[in-house]
Amino acid sequence: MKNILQTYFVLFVTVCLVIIYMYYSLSATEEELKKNMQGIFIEQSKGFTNNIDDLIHKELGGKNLYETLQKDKNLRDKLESSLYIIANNSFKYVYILYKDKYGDYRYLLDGSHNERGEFNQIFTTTNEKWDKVYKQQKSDIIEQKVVDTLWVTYLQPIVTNKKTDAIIVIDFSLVLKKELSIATQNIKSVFVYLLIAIGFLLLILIYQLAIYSKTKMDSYTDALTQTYNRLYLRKFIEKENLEKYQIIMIDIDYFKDVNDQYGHAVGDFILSKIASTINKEIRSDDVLVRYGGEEFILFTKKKSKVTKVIDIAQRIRKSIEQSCFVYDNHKIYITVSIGVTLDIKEHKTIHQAIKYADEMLYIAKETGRNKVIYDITQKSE
Amino acid sequence: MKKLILFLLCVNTILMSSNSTIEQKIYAKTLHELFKDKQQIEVWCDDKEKIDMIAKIPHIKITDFIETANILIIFHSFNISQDKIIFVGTYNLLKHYKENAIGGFFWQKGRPNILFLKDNLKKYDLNVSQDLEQYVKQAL
Repeated sequence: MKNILQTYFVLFVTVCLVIIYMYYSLSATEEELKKNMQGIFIEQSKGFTNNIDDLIHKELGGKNLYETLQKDKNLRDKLESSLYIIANNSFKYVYILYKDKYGDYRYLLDGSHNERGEFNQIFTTTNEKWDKVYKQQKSDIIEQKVVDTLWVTYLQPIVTNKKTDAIIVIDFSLVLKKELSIATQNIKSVFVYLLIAIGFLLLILIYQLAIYSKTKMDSYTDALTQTYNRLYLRKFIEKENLEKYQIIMIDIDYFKDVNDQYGHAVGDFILSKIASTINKEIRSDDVLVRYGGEEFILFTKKKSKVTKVIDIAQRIRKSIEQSCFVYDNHKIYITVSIGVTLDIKEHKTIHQAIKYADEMLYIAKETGRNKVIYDITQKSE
Repeated sequence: MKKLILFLLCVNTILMSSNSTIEQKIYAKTLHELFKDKQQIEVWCDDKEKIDMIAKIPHIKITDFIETANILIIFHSFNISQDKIIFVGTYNLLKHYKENAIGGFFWQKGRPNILFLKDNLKKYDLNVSQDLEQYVKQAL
């Protein structure tokens, strides 16, 4: 049973770990995919911005960008149309900003399909990367944190005669990233549901095991005395190495008289009290079995000194002898006779060892009761 | 350094918030900065939705009367003629009220845009804190 439980436990833990591993692998894959998509966006943006840069330089032919566009609305419209073609659901906003004499960014051109900025309209930003791109004349990206509709912003300077005229800006929409998250979220949910299902199954298993253990314990327990019963004794004999035990057989003296004088209810009361008195005198790893009507068999772990078991038997006998059992104002005094098998190994089988203890018990009964007998020679004493 | 940490904390809080919370926080900060000495700031606004949001800001009282308001927050009206402090919610309104609008806050390209006009702040003898200084612009 223990091995089966261990196997189940290892199996459950392994399955759970595999699911958790797969869940996190999927998250890592999702991140990797997002990174790749971002890379693709940047590459495409580079292509677009290079084309825009070429187009502007071609149209302006070395003239000042701001001044030319300020004067020529037709050129603005023409260039904005070019930017408009690039903008779509993924490349959400495509626009060009310049820096005025106060260091503020303002729109030169805006090809976005919506939320268009006017020519010369101020564009407030506090991100230092804009200035960095302007100054270092190198393209860069900004990962958007504040804006919940944008993912990444690509910035590329327009440089004429080593002077930065403006920045071409492409805002990449968050839609694709969100769609990717939604797609992987569904798979992730499957893993979560699997974990929940396994957890639920585990709970059912634990509950079933608890019921099984209780039923098993009940089937091995004598309902009256709460000691083990003969069914358990059979299992115990089958599975245990009994050579490490010594046997004490205990029988209540004149128990029939108790039943006759006080009734069976008192008899049951005495049996349960005797069992609890014996239990108080033994250790938790000793095994006490109700062997018959008023007979108990105790398997006690062998001590280094084999005769120690006689002390235990005497202690049990004395403890019962000194107890006063009270039932309905009746004070009842009980004694027990005890037979002991000192060494099971001296007997061919366990059944013979038990029989020997029973024979010693018989001698104890024969020779006056309320005594402990462990050797046949004690009979003559 | 302390101010920088406070500002970063403020920015961080703003980053974690939804757009409407960001907007409310920006209005709260702007109004409290502009009217530091006032226990209660009377605000007139022409947008029902924004009134609900602004009314939740501590020390703000919404008024129905332009005359008694300390500041007008305008989202739609192009016909306000009173010489009052105006704060606008669109770029077009900012252009329209460039003579007496002290600034505006609006969303463009998914980004929150806030700006103050230096000359008009000066006109009404208003100051903004160092945190908002970067949004003060010389010209529209």
